[in-house]
Amino acid sequence: MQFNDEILVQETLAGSHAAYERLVARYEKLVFKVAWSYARHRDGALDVCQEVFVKAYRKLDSIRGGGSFKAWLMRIAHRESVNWLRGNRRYLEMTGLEEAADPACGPDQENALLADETRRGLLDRLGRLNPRQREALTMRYFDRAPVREIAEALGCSEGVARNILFRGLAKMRAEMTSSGRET
Amino acid sequence: MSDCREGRRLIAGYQTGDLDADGLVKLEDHCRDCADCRSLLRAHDALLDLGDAAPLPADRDFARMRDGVMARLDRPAGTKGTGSLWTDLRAFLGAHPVAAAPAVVLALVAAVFFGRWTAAPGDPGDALMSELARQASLRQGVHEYLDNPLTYTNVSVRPRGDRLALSFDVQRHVDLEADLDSPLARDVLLATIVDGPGLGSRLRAMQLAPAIPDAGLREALAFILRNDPDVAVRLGALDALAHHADLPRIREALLHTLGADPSVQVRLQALEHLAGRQIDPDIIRSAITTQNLDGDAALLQRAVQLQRRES
Repeated sequence: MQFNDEILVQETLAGSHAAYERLVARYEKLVFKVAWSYARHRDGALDVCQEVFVKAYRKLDSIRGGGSFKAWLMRIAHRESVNWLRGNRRYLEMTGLEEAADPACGPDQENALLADETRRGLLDRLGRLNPRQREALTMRYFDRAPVREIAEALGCSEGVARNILFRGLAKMRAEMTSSGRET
Repeated sequence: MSDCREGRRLIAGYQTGDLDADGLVKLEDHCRDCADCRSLLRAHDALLDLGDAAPLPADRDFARMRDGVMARLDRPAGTKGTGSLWTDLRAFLGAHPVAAAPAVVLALVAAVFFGRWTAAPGDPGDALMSELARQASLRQGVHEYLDNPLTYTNVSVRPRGDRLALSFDVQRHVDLEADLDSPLARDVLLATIVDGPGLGSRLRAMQLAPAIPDAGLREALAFILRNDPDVAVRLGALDALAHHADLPRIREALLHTLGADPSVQVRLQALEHLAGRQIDPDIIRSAITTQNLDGDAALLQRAVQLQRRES
């Protein structure tokens, strides 16, 4: 039986940990993807996930008046990912774990290395977008979120969200062209 | 940014999934002659691939993360979580920067070794049943059930004498009998109530639930009573919970149903169950009128009748 987010939020606010765990299970992969796009490191991203869900739980009553749990959670995920990156940059540089943690995932090692390099380049470019463009593109491309949800997460109209999405894409393209590695 | 106005409009629509078939044909035609827009489409495709490339952790890693979240929910803010490898490593490296490289190697070797060791297949027969029994005995409520790494599917429960016939799949199908008060019986009953495959099996499980004095089952029934969209299921949960209406939490759940359930039939049934429980009539009246619903007047009238009958 599938309970919608609103019911699970109400149940959580009424004291049910089980309901909150269902919400965590529902969104853990999405939050992980957002966190990974910043941390680029599996364990780091899992740590961000934990922080995101704990903080969301503690502030859950702030969405009592309505609004989408998912959009609200995405805002927290981006904020916590930025915080994590600020707090851990030194350690990532020291250990070189930033790029090494994800094992190559193709049958052919050379192709896997190329794919990994492309992925790193894209994540670099994603990191150079402004926060709203980054948030919009992450929601659209990592979760296939509809414009309505993206607009809600960004706190703007759908028209503005479309504009942010397109400008983000155009900037990604410009970065790819200027680096001479258009993929 | 593209200078091409038509291309920009089409790609913006394509990006948000709003382009119809005509638009797709126009976009394709346009891109054939427009290198600028072709490169935008390539950026679009690359981003789609990137979203799919995130190396999702194994289920057991997510389960560990969830455990960490659940363990921290009632702790004061500022308490750090149970560590992932990263948390532990970061803390260690903060204190011992010189040891960074050997520590990283050691951690990776340990992770590889541990991964292989845990991936080894076990005996699916007796070992599975003992693990089921062990894990079932650890769980008390819905929370623990939902955290169960062994998911029960195709569940059903039937009474057989003073025992229960359990039927379910956990990696493979299992048919067995268990004592009413066994943890496994409680677990499968709970799974049937919450996620049973059909109305019949869920209602049957609810009828059996009162025979097992277990707080987790009562919690599941209360959850169903508040949230299930099916009136028949809510009535089943209500009848099952009514056996324990003397418990304060259950009485509270019945009073909440009396005041808030969208079905008058369910509210009336809750009223019948609460009658004769020596509850202050004012509390009953107050519960009925909590949300100013359509059936309030009829329920108030029935409450007076029941009160007269009791006195």
